[in-house]
Amino acid sequence: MSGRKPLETLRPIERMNQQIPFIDEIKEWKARGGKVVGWLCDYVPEEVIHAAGLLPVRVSGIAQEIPLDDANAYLYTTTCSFVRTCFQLAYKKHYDFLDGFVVASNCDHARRLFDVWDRYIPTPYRYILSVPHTKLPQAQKFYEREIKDFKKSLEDHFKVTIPEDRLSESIRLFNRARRNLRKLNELRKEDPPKITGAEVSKIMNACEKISKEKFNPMIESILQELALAHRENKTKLRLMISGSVLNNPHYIEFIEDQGCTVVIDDLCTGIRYWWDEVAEDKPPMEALAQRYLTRFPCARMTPGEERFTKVVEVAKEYKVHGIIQEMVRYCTPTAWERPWLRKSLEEAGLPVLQLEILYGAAGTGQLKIRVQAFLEMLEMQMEDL
Amino acid sequence: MKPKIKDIEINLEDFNAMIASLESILAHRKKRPTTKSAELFYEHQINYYKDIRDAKKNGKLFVLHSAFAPVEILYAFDVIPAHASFLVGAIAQLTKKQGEYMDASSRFGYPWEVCQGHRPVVGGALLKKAPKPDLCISVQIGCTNAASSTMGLARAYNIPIYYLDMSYGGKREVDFAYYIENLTELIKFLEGFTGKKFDWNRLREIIDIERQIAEINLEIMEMRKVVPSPVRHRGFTQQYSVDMFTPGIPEALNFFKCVRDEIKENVEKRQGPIDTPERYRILSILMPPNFSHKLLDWMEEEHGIFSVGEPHMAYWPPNIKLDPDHPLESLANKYYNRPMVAQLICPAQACLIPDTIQLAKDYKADGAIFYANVTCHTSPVLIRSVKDTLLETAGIPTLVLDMDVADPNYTSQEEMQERIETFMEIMESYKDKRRREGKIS
Repeated sequence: MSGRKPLETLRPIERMNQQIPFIDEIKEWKARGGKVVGWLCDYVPEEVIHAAGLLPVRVSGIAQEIPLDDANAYLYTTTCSFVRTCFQLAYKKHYDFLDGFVVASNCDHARRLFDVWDRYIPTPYRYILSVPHTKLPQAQKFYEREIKDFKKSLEDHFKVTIPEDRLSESIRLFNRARRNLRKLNELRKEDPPKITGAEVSKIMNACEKISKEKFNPMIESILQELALAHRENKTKLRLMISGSVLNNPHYIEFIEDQGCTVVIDDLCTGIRYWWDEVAEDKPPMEALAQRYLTRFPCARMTPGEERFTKVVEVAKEYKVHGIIQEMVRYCTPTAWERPWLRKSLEEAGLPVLQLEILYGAAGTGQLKIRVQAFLEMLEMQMEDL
Repeated sequence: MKPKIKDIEINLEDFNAMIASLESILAHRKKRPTTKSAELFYEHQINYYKDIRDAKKNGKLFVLHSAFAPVEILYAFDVIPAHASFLVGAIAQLTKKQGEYMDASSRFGYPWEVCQGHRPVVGGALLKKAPKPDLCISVQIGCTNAASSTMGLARAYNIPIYYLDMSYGGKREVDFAYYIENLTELIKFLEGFTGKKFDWNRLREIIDIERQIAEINLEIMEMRKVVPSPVRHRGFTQQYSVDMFTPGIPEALNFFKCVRDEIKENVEKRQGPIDTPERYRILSILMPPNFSHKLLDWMEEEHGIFSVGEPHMAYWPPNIKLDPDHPLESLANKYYNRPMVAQLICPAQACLIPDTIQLAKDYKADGAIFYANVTCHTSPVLIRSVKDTLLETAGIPTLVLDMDVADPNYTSQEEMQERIETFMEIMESYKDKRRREGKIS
């Protein structure tokens, strides 16, 4: 991200990104006797964990590719590289600070990660939530029951109670974070945008690792600084990244360094996390079930066509010139939707570059050539227009 | 370059060639008889595929479904169901055109990650060689590949698709209740789609046949505990297919009765199904390669290795309750407990692991072979867990055969045979150890 003045308010976020997974804020929380519950896949309603007085922390890898020898031995070489990275870190005790681990039954890989974690990693509390694949009324009722069971399980294990008003408070707090993230992303609609895709990725990483009590003032300061800042940006090309998990700012920075700005995403570590709020005027459990099942869908949900339409709408809203369709190697839901999403995007006049990455991988020479060729093609299209 | 779907006419040449191929296998069987059940199996398969081919001619709707759809409901609507992956997979395999079907899906943009067992479905549709159904049904059974292939076909043919959800977790009351609600919605949808009232009496009759088959399955499982094993490897693959394709029809019941009687005869005579004496009893975990059932014959004939338990294919837990008076509850009970679905839809510690341990003990297994289909993202992940557990609790070793269930180019039969021969020595050493420890005689 050359030629752009660094944001002062981004400094603590930069530090947190360096420290993932066991960042200072989590250490401080633990030092005060706080308990931490790791969650995997953003169908897990964090609000319930928060309302129990626990710190919800997204389980992820770090911003680099790591050797996966143990994960290959305990899982399988064709298990998605994100899941293997998470297990590898846990196996090497980087997630020993977790007091609990909750997985949403999102995909084949996540479910099996839970099985293997359950067998080999001694996290004291382990739970898997069954998430329906549709948003039909009976599915929402089912998921509401699931969330209630999850709440009870947390209460039993951690010997706490989660009163309804506390849950409503948590919902309001998390909604505030979502609104802040929406404001941040609104700034990306500007031409040129004041913030890069890599910077947003770092903010998202922090958001999912620290308490929302700490995160909200932090992002509000960033928004204030951005409102006053003049930030130079000579790149004209606006890109969207679509895929599953991508929380590696270096990778996004590498793409932007080739001469574009990533102005929006379609990722579980991005838009799908903040796009929809939980209704505050409904009974909390019902509202949570509704929000989590009807939110911006990922590739696991049916029918896929709803998702394709939404991705196209967002791409147009953010006036993107092209889309990078990124696939973490061995991600099954993404693999199956990939050609059809591409078809929808291209039919809407949005050019697509398909990339496969091993989770955590940085930019390579080959990637550079492919991205540069794509950007050149987009530039030519712009000139023609 | 992507194929222009609209320019390609549907071509059933491969489908007809596949039926012809099955007919020649049956003729060969009749010329060189093995067992009556093997003949029945091929007759059953041929009739199944002919019904699909002739559905339109016979004025019937044709529904293509993903694995483990509640076919019973489709039968009760008098529509013709077909299992997408098995149908198109069989067309590709028996006409030796797997490469062509796989390539078509790759050209369209399906990456390597897509399971080879399900990939031909979209390849066949993109080539317009897969039979075109009136409707697709996609069921979430805990395997993304299985559920997604039918979606690809529905999109390629631009036909309607119905999504049937199953919750993860498995055998809980809430799962059954959710599934029953979803079945009720499916029935309402099909009433609208077919313009017919649902025939509950027909469904009760089907469930009653399934109840009888379930009882036979329990009898078979009990008889299989006997030493020497009274069953051939191929037997369990055939039983698995018949139950999956055509549950609850009289022909399926006849087939299972025939299998039961053949096994009973061997048990009463205290003899194995072939002349080669039994040397090793193994568990077969996941699915053996589709392209080489001869590997299974070779294990038995050359080395006396008999499969005695198959958690994913032939393990019917005794608590499956099928009651014609409660048909939807029965279907929920069946589909959450039946082999393959139960292992996919439940956490491993609640189903696959305890069931495998139980099988190892009850059936006196000397070892296990884990057929690790490289593009399967559900079961091979549990290799280490299964392997460790079997060693710790039953003292038996596991051989992991990395292979592609549909493609001999990944691992050939010869390569697998070499690995199995080495594994025999390992099983022998573990047997010695258990003997020394007084655990077996």
